[in-house]
Amino acid sequence: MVEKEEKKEKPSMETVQENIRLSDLLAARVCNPASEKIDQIQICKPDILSCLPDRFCRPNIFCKPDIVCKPDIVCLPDRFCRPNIFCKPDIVCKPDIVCIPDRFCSPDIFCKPSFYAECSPSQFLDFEPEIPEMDVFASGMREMAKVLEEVQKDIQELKKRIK
Amino acid sequence: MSDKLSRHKGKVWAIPKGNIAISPHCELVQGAKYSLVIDFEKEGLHRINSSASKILRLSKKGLSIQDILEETGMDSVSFADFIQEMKSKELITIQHKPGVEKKIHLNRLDQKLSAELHSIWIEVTSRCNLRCIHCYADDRESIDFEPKVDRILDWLGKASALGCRRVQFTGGECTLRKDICDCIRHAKEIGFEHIEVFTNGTNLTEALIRFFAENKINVTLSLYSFNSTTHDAISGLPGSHRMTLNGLKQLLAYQVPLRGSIIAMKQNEKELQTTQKFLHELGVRSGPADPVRPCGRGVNLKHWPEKYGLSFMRTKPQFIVDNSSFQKNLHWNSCWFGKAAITAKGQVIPCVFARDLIAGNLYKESLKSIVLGSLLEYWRLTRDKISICRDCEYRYLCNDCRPWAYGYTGNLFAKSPTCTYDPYEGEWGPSEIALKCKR
Repeated sequence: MVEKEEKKEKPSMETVQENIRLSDLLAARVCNPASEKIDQIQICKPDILSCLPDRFCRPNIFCKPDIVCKPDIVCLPDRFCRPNIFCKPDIVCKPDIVCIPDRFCSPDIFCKPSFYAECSPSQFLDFEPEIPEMDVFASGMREMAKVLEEVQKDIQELKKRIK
Repeated sequence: MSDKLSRHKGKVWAIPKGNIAISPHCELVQGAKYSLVIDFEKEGLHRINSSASKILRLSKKGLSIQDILEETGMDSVSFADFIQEMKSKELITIQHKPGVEKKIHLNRLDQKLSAELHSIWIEVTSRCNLRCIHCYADDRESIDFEPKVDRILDWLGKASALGCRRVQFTGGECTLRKDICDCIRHAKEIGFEHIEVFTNGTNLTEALIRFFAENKINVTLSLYSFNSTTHDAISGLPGSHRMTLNGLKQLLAYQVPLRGSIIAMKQNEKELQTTQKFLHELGVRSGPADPVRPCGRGVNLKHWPEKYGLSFMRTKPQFIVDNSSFQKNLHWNSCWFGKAAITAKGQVIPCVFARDLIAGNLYKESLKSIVLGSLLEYWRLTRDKISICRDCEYRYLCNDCRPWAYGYTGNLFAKSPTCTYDPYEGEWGPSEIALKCKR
């Protein structure tokens, strides 16, 4: 019976995952004109999995759009430095500053600043309306800034004392 | 014999003579309904139906194209279309000699694939000054256990002799031990290359931090929120946030290699990204928050971060197509392989979250016999042994966190509730369905 079924069925192939390459994701074309925004949207769709914090770096690690698109979030490379390496545009746009590597990234693995060199924050932020749910996890920014300021001040004091 | 011609949609394809061979940079993985052609070179995934899979399987057995056509009785037009499509994507080649079944090429992966212990966690004490609501310890473990320092040094030596070069000292709260520096110093002396201390940061003295800095010891600090109310509610100790931040400040002032660990729970869900940003602004490396694992006190699902947790569900094919991981996953558990955790009671378990899976006890057996015995069996827990997953075409690309599945279902061999794929129907479900299989 199964054999008969197989005889009737035409052989078919469907590409379920296109090649996601580091170079494709980080290429400057993500910031380029409308025709190429499709690529960006594909990367940035809200339903793409967030970066998994898994310390052992599961392969299915993809970043949520704000990591690519918002200028204030740092890049999160995993130890394999595969597609989930996205950079903080305002850092990487400065050619002399490297991205912060993830905790398991080898010390010598840094994101290339040039990947985003041609991007402007306004172009990244074009995609913001597509990711409204991200704010759900980002409450208390103002309070955090206050705590941060105090902590940074204390660290500076400590550093002076240590010296 | 000349090539047959197939006419379809105005195109004319020749059915080539010879044999189909899967390209050397590709692998075929058979699933229940579909099979997967993995292209490691272009990092693409191509799902094929059972007829197409049959063509490739018969080819691997050495049947020629003509033989396959006869054997399957497929119509030549669709057959030719399929061959042409596969060829155009460089997933197959046509050879004049029968293709030999491709061997899994281990070559330089051989060493990595040998059963070798490469990372250990050592819980140097079960004591802790906090009572975090999500901790993998549970109340059964609230009686304090603390191995003598000589015992820990011995474990380190035995692990080193087995080739292990990475160690994380954890607990309980490992800095509650006054001799923690002796353990770290010994690990350094016997050749551990990556030494890490996991701490809640509340008990760090300046002397200890200076020791970390001088010896370049990696420290991981758990912080649940930038917000003291939230953090203290999770840690169970009022004032713990202030103590942790004091530790954090000193670690940063002394430039200790530091990373932050944020566990996502319902209680801190709304502040996860803010907390991550807080750490980043301080220059502390930290990935996004890791959802609480269902073990120990964390087994209580009321702490599950419902909204944030949804983003951890696999609802579509999104895999890193990596040949070395693929090869490893054919033979070994994608996460546990090469790792062991030693509890304060001397129990050897495959992961700190797998508290019940005791491979042996170092007070009764040697580390070597445990690693080569029961632990090896856990390392061998590939997706081929997991129900449903064994019939999934993505099984060697997918990484496996057994404590997810085990914690939620109580079944070590259950499919992870974080995956929504049904290999029998070939369909992905919505993320909401994933965690319905509660224990």
